Amino acid sequence: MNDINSFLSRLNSTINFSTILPEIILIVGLITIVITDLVNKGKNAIFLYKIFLVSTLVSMGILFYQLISVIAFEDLYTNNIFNNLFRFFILICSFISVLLSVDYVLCSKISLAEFPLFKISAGLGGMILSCATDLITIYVSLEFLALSSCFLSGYTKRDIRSNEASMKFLLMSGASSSSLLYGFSLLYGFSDGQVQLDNIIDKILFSQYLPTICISAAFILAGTAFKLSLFPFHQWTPDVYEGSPTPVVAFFSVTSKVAALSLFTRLFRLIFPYLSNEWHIVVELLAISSMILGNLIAVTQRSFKRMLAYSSISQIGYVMIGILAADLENGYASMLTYTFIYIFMNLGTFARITLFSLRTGTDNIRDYAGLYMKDPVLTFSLVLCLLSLGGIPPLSGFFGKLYLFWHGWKAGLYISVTVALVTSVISIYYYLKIIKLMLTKTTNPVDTLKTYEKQKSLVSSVISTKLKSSVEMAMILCALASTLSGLFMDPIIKITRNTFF
Amino acid sequence: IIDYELILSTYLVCVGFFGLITSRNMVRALMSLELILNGIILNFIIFSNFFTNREGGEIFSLFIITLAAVEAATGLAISLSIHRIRKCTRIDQLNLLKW
Repeated sequence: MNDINSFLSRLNSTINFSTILPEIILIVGLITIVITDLVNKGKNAIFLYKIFLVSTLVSMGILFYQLISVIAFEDLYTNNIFNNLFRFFILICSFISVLLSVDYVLCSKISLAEFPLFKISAGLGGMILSCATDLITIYVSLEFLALSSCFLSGYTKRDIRSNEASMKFLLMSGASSSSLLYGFSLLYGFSDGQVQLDNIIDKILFSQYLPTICISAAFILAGTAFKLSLFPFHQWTPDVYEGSPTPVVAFFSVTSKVAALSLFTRLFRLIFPYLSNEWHIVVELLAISSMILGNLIAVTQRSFKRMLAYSSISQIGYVMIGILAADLENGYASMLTYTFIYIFMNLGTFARITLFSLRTGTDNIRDYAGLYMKDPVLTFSLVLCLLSLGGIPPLSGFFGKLYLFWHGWKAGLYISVTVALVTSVISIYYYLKIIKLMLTKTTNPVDTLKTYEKQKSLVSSVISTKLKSSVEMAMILCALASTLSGLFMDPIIKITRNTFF
Repeated sequence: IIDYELILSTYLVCVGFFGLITSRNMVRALMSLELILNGIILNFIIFSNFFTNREGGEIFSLFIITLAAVEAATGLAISLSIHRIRKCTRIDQLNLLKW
């Protein structure tokens, strides 16, 4: 009894529960989903989704409240604006991606209950990764995120392409996180046994083992560049994106990239500040090559999801410029703003692809021809999101890129910004190609219309009226956010400015 | 003597990587992944031997052992689902997703 009391008092002093309250709410939501599914024995599965959405919303509300007031620092888990913003982004990603995945999961007749389970666990992993300041927490939450995403990508078990995508994802993510772990073990050894990131910096700052620190930096770079799908480590991205079910691709194309961005920034800015010449050059090379490669190969793609995979590789190349250009007065404002806008653009595009593939079952770009005649709402919102991805002026993608490249130019990254501008123009080509295809008058054969009617009746008979248009809700939300965020750019920049550490 | 021990753990990691890259069978690839993680655990234990407070490396090693088991379980679940469709677990025959 005495031991339990002393243990609890020590626990209360080391973990301040209000700092991890959003994660606790998500865990409570997870347990509720499991118990509800077991009690209901598989009926009334939409209720599980409602639980998920409610818990995500509550968590977002609490996080928003915490963003406004500042909470004290802790050991494993610091709370400053950088961490909280990333947690907020991941919660937004989870919320919108579940909105757009409900119809798909219902229509594909696979088991419905585990889907929100895996999504919550992946969102939890991402949130903890954004706040982790400890080697152990970083590795465990990274693996949590990766393995939940792996289960999600293999969700449609009967589709062999989904199995293949999930197998590739598992093996490559296992290899890369073990490379990250090897770098961590070298850091642990050469910093006299410290596991907290702050203590590691103190110890290795004036160490004489500089070549080994460089080797560990190389391994850590290899491990994190895999999650970000930078150039030599991007091979998994198109295969996994094409094979996995579309709402799952939407989810982990934003969530794991956002979480990996926070990990990358924290590791490289905290641990290796005095190596900054070396890793700046390497990251610049990686960013330039991923921009060039992503945009050039995306031109030749015939499948929409694969093209979006290559385009997301190039978007991360642009964001890398934002990481390199961080300085004292602006912090990581450019990277955070572009990440925020990228979330909405990407999720919006995937929402429309989900809706389209629900209705016609195909993923080829050629089948999007003449969509304007059949569904003008879908066409118009897809046009908005694609133009925002390309960076056309009144939409928010343009403002995000403008801020990013302006920061990069001010920080002296002339080559990167020039390459980014040229490849941006190339990317406009393949986005406009799709838009032109949609707006011209050639139509598909009549079979697709029949599929549309059948799916629509199946959907409206199975699910409740409140969630009938959840995909459309997500679509319209993302379209609005990706157009109007550009006008509200100034408050966003003001919030994200205070994030240098 | 520490360099011999570090060379041993690095050798295990390299053998594991070689096995992961050149294995045609899914189960063999998972075994090589386990070998990589075990080599890294050995690295942590070697380093923790030389410090006065050994908690950091040894606790981290326990976490890595657990996570290696989780990854192996995930990999076996996926290979089971591949086996149900294709009746074999050869991963070099999975070439539906290219370019």
